Amino acid sequence: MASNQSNCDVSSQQEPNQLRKKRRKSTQTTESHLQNDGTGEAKNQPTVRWRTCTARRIYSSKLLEALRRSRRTTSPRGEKTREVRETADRVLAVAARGKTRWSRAILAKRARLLRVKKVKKPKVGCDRMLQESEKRKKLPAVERKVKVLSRLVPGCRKVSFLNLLEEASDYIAALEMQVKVMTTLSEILAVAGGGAGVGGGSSS
Amino acid sequence: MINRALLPAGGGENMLHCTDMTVLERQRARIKWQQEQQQQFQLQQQEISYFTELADVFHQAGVHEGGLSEVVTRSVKPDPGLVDNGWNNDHVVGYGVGLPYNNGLGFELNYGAISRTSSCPPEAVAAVAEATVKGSESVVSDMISSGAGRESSKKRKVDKIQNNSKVVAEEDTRDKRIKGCAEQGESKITEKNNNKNSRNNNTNKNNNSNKENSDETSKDNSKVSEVQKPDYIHVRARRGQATDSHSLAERVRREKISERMKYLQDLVPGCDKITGKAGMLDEIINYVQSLQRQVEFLSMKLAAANPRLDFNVDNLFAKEQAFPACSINFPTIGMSSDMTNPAYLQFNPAQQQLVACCGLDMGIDPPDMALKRTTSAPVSIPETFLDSSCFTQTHPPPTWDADLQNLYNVAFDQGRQTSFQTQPFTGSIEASNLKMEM
Repeated sequence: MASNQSNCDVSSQQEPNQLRKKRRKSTQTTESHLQNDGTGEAKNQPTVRWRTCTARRIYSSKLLEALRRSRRTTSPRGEKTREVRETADRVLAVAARGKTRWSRAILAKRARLLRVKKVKKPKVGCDRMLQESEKRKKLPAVERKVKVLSRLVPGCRKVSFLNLLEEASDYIAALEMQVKVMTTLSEILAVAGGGAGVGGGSSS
Repeated sequence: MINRALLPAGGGENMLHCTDMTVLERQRARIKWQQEQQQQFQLQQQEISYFTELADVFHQAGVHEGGLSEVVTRSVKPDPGLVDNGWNNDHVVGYGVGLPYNNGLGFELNYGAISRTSSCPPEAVAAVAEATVKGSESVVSDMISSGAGRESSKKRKVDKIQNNSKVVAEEDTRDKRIKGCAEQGESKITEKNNNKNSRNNNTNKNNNSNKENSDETSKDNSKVSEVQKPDYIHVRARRGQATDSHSLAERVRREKISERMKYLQDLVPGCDKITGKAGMLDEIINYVQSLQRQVEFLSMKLAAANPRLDFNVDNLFAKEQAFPACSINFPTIGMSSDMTNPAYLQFNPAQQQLVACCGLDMGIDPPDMALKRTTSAPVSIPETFLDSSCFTQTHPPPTWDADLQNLYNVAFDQGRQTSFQTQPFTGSIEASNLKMEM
């Protein structure tokens, strides 16, 4: 447990360093994308990264640890879902080992949240945007979808289309793994927990 | 109106109306070309490399080879003086690529571009134009429009240096190149169209092959004798670029985008038949949204199950000790066990839903209500839960975590590990997953 905690902390500390080098990393990944058409790509591919057993195992164990810790440390009244989801996302970002922009963004979001309280600014240009959207609806169809996608993938609002696609593919693979692990985990917990609870209730 | 603009100064023929040309005129042009070809063969060897390709294509298209090279060489002659003949060069180059490729929009724009150009040898134009097959008109227009870029000659010189060694080898094996040129002609046309009509968002796979080939050739000139096709693609692509650095970079970018889109197509289920960026982006967005919704739903489930987390976690991780604990829990469930155990044991899709819903209900509702819930679970399952539970029922592959597998074994009191059946709903996801894992 302590080792797991230290792992999580160390990896989270590595994030800011990697944030500084992010530009180099993105170029490197694109270069490797071009050059390593055969061999190097195998390791870089999101599917390979996220579909290995080790990745799942690592993620599931880390998730359990994080959930346990969060359960012990904080217990917000009405926002359990959000807390669990954010924990899961954070653990997923940690599992990404900082090679992708979305993972770094998720962790940076958390770090920023801890330091400074988030103040949501009202959107000033909202009306203008609405008017413009009414006038031109279908002109930049692809662009609109690109914007939507960039909003969905964390930390990818001002990213080029090319990098956005790469981030999206990695993000999708990571999300798939997350869903699988959480499904299994929830089933086990629900079954076991339900059994334990009912057993305790009926026996008492 | 466009036709008039296209009319060359000297001749009365219109490239558009190639069919007006008679056979005699064609033969005349051919003879002229043949004469000039022999004269200028030694002078401009580099250009000939280009034009012989075209000649080969013409050969395939049924046009007389000599005529084409004649046109080519003649137009190549005043190479330094690009003003008049730069147009010729490129448009002749384009002729060789006369293949049935027709981009309607590009067609229009290119015709507009043609009017800018200066005079051209009418017979050459007419003869060559007529000689090509259907789509040649668009090709010609493409070539002409691209010929408007003066810098193409400079690029050609660079290519000449690279292709000097290739010329001899290329001339030897013409027949092989014919078909290669045919294919590459298409790709070149598409490239040129893309260059001029960058907004068309043509993501042709030919572009990918072109760029790859040009990469290969730029890196290794010694491959000439073995690989003829890449040289051709390389040469043509370079030559067709009006403003080289921009168009090249554009092509690289387009290829990268298409490569990544292809990869995403494999990743997102049900995207095999969708072509085009907009449709693919739609699918990707939907898929990401659905995945995020699933995560949200699962986190809700987990949050509800969290009160038992400590107890269960200890059980989970202490494998051997957990086995008796878990197995003991089941007999004490009582009524709920009758419902859940058969559900787990039989692993039918319907009951799998039941499992999920039971789990969900048990997780969310207070434990003392669990008995009632499990019995009423099949009846009162809300639609949303059903859908999402269907979605979340993924097939844990045999190579799942070892401890989780053991847990499954223990919890269900069965030796079966892979007893979960995949929902038909998630079949597509499974297929894609399996495909990727292979």
